[in-house]
Amino acid sequence: MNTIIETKGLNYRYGTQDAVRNLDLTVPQGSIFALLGPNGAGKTTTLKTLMNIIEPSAGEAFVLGVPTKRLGAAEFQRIGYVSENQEMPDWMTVGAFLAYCRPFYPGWDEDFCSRLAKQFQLPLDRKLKHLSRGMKMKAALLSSLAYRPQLLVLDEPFSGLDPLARDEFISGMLALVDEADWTLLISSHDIEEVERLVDWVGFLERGNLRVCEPVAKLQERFRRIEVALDTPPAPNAPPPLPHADWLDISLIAHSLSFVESRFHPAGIEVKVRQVYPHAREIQSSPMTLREIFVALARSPLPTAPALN
Amino acid sequence: MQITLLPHLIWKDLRHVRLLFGLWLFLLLAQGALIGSGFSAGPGNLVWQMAYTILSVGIPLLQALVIIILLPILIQEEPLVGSTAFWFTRPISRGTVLAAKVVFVAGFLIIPPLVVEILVFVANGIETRDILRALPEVLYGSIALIVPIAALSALTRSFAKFALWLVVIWVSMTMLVLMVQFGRMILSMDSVMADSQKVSLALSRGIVAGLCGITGGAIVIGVQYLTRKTRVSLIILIITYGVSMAVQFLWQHDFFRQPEPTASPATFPDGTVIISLKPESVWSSDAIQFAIGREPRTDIRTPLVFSHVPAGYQIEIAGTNSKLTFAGGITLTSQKSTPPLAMMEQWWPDALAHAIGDIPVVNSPATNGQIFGQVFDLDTATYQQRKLEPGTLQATFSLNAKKLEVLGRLPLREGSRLDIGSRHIEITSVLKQTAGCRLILRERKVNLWSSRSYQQFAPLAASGGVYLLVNRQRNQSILPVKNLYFDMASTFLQASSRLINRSFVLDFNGALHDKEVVGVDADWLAGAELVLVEARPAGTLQREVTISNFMFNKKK
Repeated sequence: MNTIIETKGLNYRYGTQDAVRNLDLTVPQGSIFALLGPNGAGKTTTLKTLMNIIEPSAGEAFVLGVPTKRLGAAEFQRIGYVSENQEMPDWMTVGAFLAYCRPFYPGWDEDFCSRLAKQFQLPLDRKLKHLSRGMKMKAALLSSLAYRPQLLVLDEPFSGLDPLARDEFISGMLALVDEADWTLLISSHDIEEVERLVDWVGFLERGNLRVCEPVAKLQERFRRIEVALDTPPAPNAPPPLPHADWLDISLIAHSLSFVESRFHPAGIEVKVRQVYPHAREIQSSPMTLREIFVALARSPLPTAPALN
Repeated sequence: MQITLLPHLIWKDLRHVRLLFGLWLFLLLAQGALIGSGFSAGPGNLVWQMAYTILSVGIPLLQALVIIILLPILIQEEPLVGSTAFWFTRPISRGTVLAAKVVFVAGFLIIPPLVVEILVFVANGIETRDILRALPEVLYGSIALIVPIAALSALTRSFAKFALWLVVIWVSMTMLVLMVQFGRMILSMDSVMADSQKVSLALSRGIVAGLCGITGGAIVIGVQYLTRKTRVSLIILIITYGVSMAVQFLWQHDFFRQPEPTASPATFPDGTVIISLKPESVWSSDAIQFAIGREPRTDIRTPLVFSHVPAGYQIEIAGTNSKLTFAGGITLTSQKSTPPLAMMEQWWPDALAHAIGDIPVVNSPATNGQIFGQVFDLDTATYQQRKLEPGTLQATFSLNAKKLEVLGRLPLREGSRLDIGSRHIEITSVLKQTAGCRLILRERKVNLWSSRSYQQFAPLAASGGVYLLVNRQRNQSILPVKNLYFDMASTFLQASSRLINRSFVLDFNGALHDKEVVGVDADWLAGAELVLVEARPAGTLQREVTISNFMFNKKK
């Protein structure tokens, strides 16, 4: 597997607070990678470090095989970056803005740019400062796509967009994904929005990476397990935690529910009956990304190391 | 650095700030036209004078204001602070952005003033040698304004923050200067007064402080662009600020001071000069005290008479050291070694007369060879105690000799000119009056750092000499009545300009110190010419005077 982004023990401190802690992240080339996590998890800080906007406090990171501290003009000709809070030259019209960006990129594809401009319905003669937030994001995206970057980094691209604009944006991205040979790294706290877009996922929580793997594999190994018990445990007794792989355990009357993070169809019954020999019925059901991350978020950090 | 991108970035910046740049360019040209055209010509026309005053103050102020707005916009187009700037993730190297900004500033904000200034100089007949001497000053003037503003712009994220910090720094610097000056005044008023007379030292200090600011500012800009380490840049900025302030008060090397020529027989035959005091006319007065809470002091003055001064020379006192020894052996020492600032020059009539060909000056306010000078300074309590006690006064006078020489002559008619190198004087108007006349002259000359001094604020000296109307047939010459009103406006307003292009009035029409201008009528004027005399330093000398039975006060 070729990697386009790799970090080793990456750390970033704001004062005494670790925003990113000992991050080992790998983004395979050609993947559509979602870096997910709640607000304040360290997603934007990670991306800014990867883009050499800020310097890490410790550790190292490589993008396109180059240490991020040495990312320069040559690398940025192959990277597109769009962020929700990026300051654009608002005094320019969309057309002037694109004309301004063009000379920076030898690979600028004017036909592609024109097609995207039409597809995004961007008014070329309007100043950026007069565009809606969604349109501005589209303009930024267009300026980052027209040179067909090898790596496109989107930092919270849906933030502040109304549902319609969000849908248009995602549809546009999906349409492009098929024809482009790129790696897309997208950060978002909105899991459902990216679920249909991505094939790899990383989950950050309070600066710690909890998960980093392909979506299919993740959904394969995470299952919600419902166990019907013959005899309920003693009142007020906490449910036993026999396995580190079991997360988000709850017991209501005769019904036990938990998330198995290393699911195997053949092995789950044996594992459950080791703990609950009188289990009457054991059912497993697939989980959405959102459900997986809620389960991860509810489990305490020290007992849930990154699972690769 | 991506050289090919430079024009692209510069063109983008020019488009962004085109309106402000256009306004600035207009103001620059207007300023050039104002100075270069001699718009100030026409004293006597109050509307023009007022308009000139407003424009002279207003245009440079507006120019600076436009720069203060334009530069942050230019720099913060690619901000260097924060993490949200668009250009951080675009293929533009930091060096390229820095180079683009430097080329923009040099090409559009530094070179145009240089070109305008050269054109103005050339249009006013300034010699190439003087133009070349002026160029570093023009560059310094532009860079000293631009670099600190650019440095502050590079350290702030928005114009609002820039403006806020600019006000904070300006107020803090002003407060600091005022506090230091106030402290110095309390501690030693004499040193403050002495410093105030050293205009060239103040200029040297200002320039060195400015150079410190330019150097520090340039380092801040470089560090900020190439590393974006704002903390490091801030530390450099604070150090620069401290060094500049220290230099402003502590720098001692006065590289603009004109060395006084030493007396030699070839320049000034000083062996003959005798100075004598008239102790019978001693005069005491309360010294002016600026310092708060300081004990009152008394100045002792007597007439000082110079004799055996060679013809065509006059003498000025540069400093006095005195001591008075009483019969019991008690000795008092005078604390003042320098005379107070002499705002008005006194021209010795005999020296003037000699310079213009032994033609007497019939209305001079000065007495030849006599100065009412300070010989002693002491605290008032001691003065009261010993004012009638005789003692032996030993005074050492440091003296400057000046030779009066005719610099040029102008026939008394409109349009007559005197050209001395880069200095051009022209009579633009001759207004004959019942008694005497009023002349309006236009003068153009360079006014570089090395030639600036407090004397510019003394109207007669501002002309670089003294003008006399001379009638050889009548064997009479007259000095002008000082016309402070008309002189002050143009002199003050152009004091910091590198080109003096002003008009001024000479009134030869009335009494001067109770001496009537006799017989200056149309006939007298018909045979007159305007003569410019200047006092050239001829040497320095010292004289010691010893007077026994000297008393501070003769009155009982």
